Amino acid sequence: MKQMQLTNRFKRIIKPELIIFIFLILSIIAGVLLSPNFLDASFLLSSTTLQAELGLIAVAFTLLMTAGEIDLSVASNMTLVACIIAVLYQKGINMVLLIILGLIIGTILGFINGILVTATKLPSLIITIGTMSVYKGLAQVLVGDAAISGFPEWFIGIDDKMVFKIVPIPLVILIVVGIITELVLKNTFFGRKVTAIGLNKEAARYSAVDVDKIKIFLFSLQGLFCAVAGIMSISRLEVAKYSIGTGGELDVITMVLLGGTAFSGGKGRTLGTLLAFFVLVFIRTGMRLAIFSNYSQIAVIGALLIITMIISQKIEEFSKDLI
Amino acid sequence: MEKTERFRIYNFRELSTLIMVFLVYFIVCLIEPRFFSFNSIINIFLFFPFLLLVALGEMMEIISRNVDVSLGSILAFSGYVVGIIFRGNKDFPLILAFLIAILFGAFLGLINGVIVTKFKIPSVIVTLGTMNFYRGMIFILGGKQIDNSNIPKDLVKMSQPNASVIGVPYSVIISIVMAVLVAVFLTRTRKGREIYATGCNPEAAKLRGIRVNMVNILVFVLAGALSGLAGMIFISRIGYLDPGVAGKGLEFTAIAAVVIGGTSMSGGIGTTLGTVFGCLLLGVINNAISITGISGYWQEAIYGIIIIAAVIIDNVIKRSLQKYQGVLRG
Amino acid sequence: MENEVPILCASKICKSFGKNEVLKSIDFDIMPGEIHALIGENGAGKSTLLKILFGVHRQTSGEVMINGKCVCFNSPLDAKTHGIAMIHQEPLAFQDLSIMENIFMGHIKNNKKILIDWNQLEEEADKVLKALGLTFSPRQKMIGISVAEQQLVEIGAALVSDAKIIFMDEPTASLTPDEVNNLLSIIKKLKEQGKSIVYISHRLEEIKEIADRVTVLRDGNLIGTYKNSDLTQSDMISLMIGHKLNKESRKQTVRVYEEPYFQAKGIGIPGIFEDISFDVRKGEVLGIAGLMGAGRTEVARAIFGITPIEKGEILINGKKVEIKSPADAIKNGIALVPEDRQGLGLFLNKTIAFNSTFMIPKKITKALGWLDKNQEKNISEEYAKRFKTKFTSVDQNVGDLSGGNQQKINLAKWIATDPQVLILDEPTRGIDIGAKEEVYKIIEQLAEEGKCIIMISSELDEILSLSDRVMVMYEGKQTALINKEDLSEMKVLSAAHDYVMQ
Repeated sequence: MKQMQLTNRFKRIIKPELIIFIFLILSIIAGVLLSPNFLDASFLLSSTTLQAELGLIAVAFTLLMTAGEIDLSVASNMTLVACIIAVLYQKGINMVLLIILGLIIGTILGFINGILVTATKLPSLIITIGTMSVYKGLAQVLVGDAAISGFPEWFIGIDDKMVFKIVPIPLVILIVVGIITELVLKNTFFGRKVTAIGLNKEAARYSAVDVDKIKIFLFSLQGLFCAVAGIMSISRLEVAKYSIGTGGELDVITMVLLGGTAFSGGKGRTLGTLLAFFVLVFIRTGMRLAIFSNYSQIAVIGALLIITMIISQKIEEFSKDLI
Repeated sequence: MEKTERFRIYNFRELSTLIMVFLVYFIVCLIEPRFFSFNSIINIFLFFPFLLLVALGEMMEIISRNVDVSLGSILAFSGYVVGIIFRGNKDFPLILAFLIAILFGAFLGLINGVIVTKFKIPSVIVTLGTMNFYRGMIFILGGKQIDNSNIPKDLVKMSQPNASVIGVPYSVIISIVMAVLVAVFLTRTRKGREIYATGCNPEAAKLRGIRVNMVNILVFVLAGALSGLAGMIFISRIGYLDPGVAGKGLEFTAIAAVVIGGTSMSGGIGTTLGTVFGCLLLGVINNAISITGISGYWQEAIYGIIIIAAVIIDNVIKRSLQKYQGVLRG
Repeated sequence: MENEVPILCASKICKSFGKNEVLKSIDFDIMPGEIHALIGENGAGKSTLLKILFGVHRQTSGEVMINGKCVCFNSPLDAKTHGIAMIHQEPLAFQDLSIMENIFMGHIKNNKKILIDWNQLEEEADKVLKALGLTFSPRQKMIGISVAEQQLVEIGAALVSDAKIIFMDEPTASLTPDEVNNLLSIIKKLKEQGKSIVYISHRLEEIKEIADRVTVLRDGNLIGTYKNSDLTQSDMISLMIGHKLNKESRKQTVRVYEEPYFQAKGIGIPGIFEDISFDVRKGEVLGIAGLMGAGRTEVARAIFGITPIEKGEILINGKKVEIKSPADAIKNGIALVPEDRQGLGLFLNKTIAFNSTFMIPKKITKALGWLDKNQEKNISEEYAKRFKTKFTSVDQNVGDLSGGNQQKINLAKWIATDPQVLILDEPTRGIDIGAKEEVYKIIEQLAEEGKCIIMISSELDEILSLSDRVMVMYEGKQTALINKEDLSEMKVLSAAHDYVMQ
């Protein structure tokens, strides 16, 4: 009997939330192993800007996944918005106007996803595979192979702008947005409704939650965040190409799942997503310093995604056996 | 005895795709008469083979309620492995090379299948991971482009119409033969029918004694094998292999072909013929785009619209069928 | 027939779900070539027994023997290999595949060849269909035939798999009278072929027509197994409800307002239920009785706006109201406590606080929807205590509570909205006696406060002791509206079975 009590206590400690901390530590160790130059605070902080845009997308993605939906079109959305802005800027339109336009367009692209999903009642996976191709394709049509540059001075270089001399603004934005999202999810009634939808859509409906309206809102919000990400990437890269977002889905999904958000919905961990963001930054930075090609990097992240899911599933099973 | 047969809507679906193929073809011919040439038909058929092979695999996966986005990477990886062999020994027997590509692809597919079934992780996530993992592994193993000079001439000849006895390139013949084999497998073997049953109603399938896990692993292995074969055909057609780009995004094109050919994303429905027609349609659109001077970049956007449109149409059809069934319940 | 050995013999079967004892020491046996009916009120345990025998659940204790050998089923597949098949009320079929595949899936005998010979399969399927009296082509897709026909196909599949025992759980629930007759004659034919059938049904006329023996369950207890020839329908009803004394009405006389507060006039959803009319006064409890599948829950869902009514009107305080969604219902002071508390009522992985305050955001939030965790704690504790819930803290997960306590939180959640009309769907399903009493007290209290209570229940006791009036439904239609003075067990049960008493 005592044996069972001990195992139970052990099982209660191994919560899914713990993995992310373990990964955080492991990633720092990996970074150190990969390069002696790794442990440089200001360097690490400025490295976060390379992924901050995806991190932002991942925050909204966390909300969406908590409600039980997925959006594969996020990277294409971001790219399309960036390309539209770039092309229109070349035509001479005011940049400030374009920023606002970009935000609106991104939101609309997300809204389209939301409408399609709720109206057809088809799985969001399928719909967003379609919209992903459409948005990516449109970006390609607009920009072709070109790399558009020549953006205004005040606009570019957001990644160089710092707070307290070493903390880049994109990182600040990400953290602030992440914390606000976490607060909304955990401390507002709206956040509860989102969680309820992901846990049990039917029960939510019986509890008078307007499931469709909230889902459309979340998809639109995701679109908005993608637009912000797109704008930030142009600022950082100082150039707009149709390949800006390529492969972004991998990092975004890895961040969200590694952070502890459940794929099936009902459990959203925005703080986890932020921590996972750092894990990815550390790993990528370490690999960059060790001169791993981008392809090697994606191999590692791909493997990381799978390992993360395997570990989560194992822990789920483990804790379900609780007597 | 009176035999009543109600609605043949399933055959209708394939027919409608074929009609669309001809429709699009003739409309484009009207706009751009150059399209109506032997050359452009050849072009359609050259794009066709490796897309078809990947689409056949994707179709089987979708029928069994799985989604696989790693097939393009499997194509590239298998092609790369064979390419390295050729680089070392240009006289390496072609048959053996084909075998290796197929087996290696099957192996990569097996990894997908095992992870999905053993750890019960959604197939989209697993294949998103392996898509990147496999692609990256190519580079970890070297990653240099396989040049034209490394490719045996015989392989390249397989994609040339003149080099073949009938005037149709061997690559096309191979892919059609595979399509026929897949069709026979799906319609006339137990395992094939079990794939449909699993996709149609997994709980009922389990109750009938079908080993659902084995079925799932099987479709991933088959899709991997077909993509491995596609890798060889790819090299044959393109003449070289750029490992970073080869097959990238092909799986989404395949999904578009499969879906417009009548395969349902909810599982249990789909025919090889429909997929063949779907690939034809995409081939026609692809070439139509380049020949009419529309920017080639429209390709991807159009495929995406096709996916969404086809999926919505199928959904509408299915819901009206269910209403009809509801009416029968009285 | 007398000295034959039973083909299946279950002894002392007990089953508990957590603390809930559903079956108490049941003995049940099946003879070869017999049609054995299983009857009892809702919740008596019939389906559970069948599910255990089919391998869906494992018994808590007790033995099952087939042909004299002890067996242990871990899954329905095990049951199938032992020759047991189950016909489900909703066909578990491959809708997109052909009928012949539905018959033969899993059993295609292809000993020599690799390829399936479809023509041969079609021939054999034809034979099966013919034996069942079906005339359509086996190549047709399953989705194109009616539910009744799909059921027969399922029987065909069972035959093909060499089943010796076929379970049928309410097989005639969705069938027209003609289809029922057809099914019954097929069942008789199966018996002639030596198959055994276990038949659960509420339709006593059917049971009278075909059964050899009848086993009666009540409240998880075995009342007895009888020869069909020894029982009349009236006997069956008596056995099912037991010869209990008519309980004194629990309710104190409550001031009941004369004018009806809630009125349903001829409401209906074509194909589901039709022409239901009733009204409820403030302080009144209207019980809704009927068999499972009678359409009572559907009426509740319609009034609550989940699947809005398509015909008829709903009036509140004399004024017509449009209810197109649960939000509309709540605005009009209507609340529905669903039957499936775990699936539809509660979020199991969430705390008591989360669940019980979910419907009253305004009371637990400050500006911008920010949650006031203190308020939430206070309010949820207040309600939990009020309903005498056993809990350690409101931060406890609802899933960890016992059935009775879960139900109390389920109730608390909706009572917190202060509804004028409270619909309760099977409020005491699956909870123990103690908790039941407490729930009854809560219901009485609410009635005293002047609320309209609509209570759907399958427990006759409950209906009789709590209701001021009782409406009875049968297959989507209203069969009786009984006032307190005329209330009796027999009246209610008869109307529920649509059985006209002599």
